[in-house]
Amino acid sequence: MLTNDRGPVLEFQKRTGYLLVAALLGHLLLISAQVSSPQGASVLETSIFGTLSRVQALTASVTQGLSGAWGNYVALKGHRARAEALQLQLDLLGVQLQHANAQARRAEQLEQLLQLRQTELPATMAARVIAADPAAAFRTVTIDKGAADGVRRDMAVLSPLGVVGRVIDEPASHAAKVQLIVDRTAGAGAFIDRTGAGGVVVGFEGATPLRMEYVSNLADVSVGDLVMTSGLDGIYPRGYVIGRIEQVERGSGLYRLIAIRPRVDFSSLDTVLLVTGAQPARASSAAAVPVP
Amino acid sequence: MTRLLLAGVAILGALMLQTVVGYQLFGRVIAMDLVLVVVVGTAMFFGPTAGMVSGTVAGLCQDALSGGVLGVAGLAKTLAGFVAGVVATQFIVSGVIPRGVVFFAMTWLHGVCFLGLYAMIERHGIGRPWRQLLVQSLLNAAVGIVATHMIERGPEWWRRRQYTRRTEGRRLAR
Repeated sequence: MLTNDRGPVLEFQKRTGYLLVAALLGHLLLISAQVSSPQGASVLETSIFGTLSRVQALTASVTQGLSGAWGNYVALKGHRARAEALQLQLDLLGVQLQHANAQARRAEQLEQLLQLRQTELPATMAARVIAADPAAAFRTVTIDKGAADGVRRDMAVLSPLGVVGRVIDEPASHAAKVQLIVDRTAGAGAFIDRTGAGGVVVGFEGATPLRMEYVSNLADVSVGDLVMTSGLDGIYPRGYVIGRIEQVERGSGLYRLIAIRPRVDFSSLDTVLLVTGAQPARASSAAAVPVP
Repeated sequence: MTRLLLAGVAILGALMLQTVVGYQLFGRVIAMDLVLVVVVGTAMFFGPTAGMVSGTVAGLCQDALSGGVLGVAGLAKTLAGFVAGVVATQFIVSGVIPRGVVFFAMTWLHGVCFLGLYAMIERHGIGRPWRQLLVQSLLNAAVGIVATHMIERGPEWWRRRQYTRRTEGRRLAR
């Protein structure tokens, strides 16, 4: 056996090799478990996420404390807290305004239908964004509200400007992961506000981070049209803004190629609103909406 | 035990810098992979086993915090940590250029492994973001060189500074 002053070389290499094979096999089994079943590794993932998100929340408060020290105590003593309270109020009003606009549009479209169901503004809960995704390939953020605060999987997340995303995976007790709507695996039922043409908005890796799919080549679509949530996906309430159409091309198949610029600036998310009392339009009631 | 603790603290610090501080201060995800830099650095200082273990732990933590599949970054970082450790034991990588090459190459190994696994798992995969990978590998190499240099030379520089201060103080006292 080969040896050096630190011990048998071959024995060490063999042991490291075994460890490597075991680690790689372990990872492959872990990945396979999740690929074959969506519930695969939720316990392990939730436990690690729950622990690390506490550290993230602590780091976020320290970072926010340090970065806000000047503004809070030196330059604008007291003004910042008031501004934040007003911002929160403004955020809530923004959502209420969006809802009111959506209601007005629906009322115009459905005025002939006497059986129009009254809907209420969904209850929301404010949450602070504490961290971003460590991998650039995914567009998720971590918020400081979790299962203990009533957050559940698939809850819609909004901002005053429009749709942000939805809660994915099982939330930890005081943190949850939010998949942004611009993530390449995200999607939402949508319609074009001007014409009522329906489709599916999906995330896209490119200059315009959203695409609208399944809109017929025959549909009337123009640059600048507003795209709203349809509520047909059962996650996002109907009538919230997703973005504006930036580019429209005639597709080679049946459907148009539509690029959308989202209304929300995802690089500066600070406070978001979770729809706790979600009232997404049911397929049956939404199907009654006349499409011009 | 001290090595394990040091590596653990470095991984946690890198994760927090990557996910919280970068986002809170700059409003976006920073282009480099600081966690990978720590894993490769650990492998270069402590060998392939330490690199592999730190890669596994760091990758799993990164997966748990991200929206992806648990184990993919873990596997990629385990492999990168192991290979970096083997390279560091077989070749002299104490110079700036060899060290930069190791960080650069390990970022590519990690990136190709990560993208390849997602190409197998998902129908469309993540795509081929080669330009981002090139930028990330260059940034990782730069940060890795500076960080390892500081770790190696930092304590010595600090001792020398303290010694100079003491000597200056004594001379002034006389």
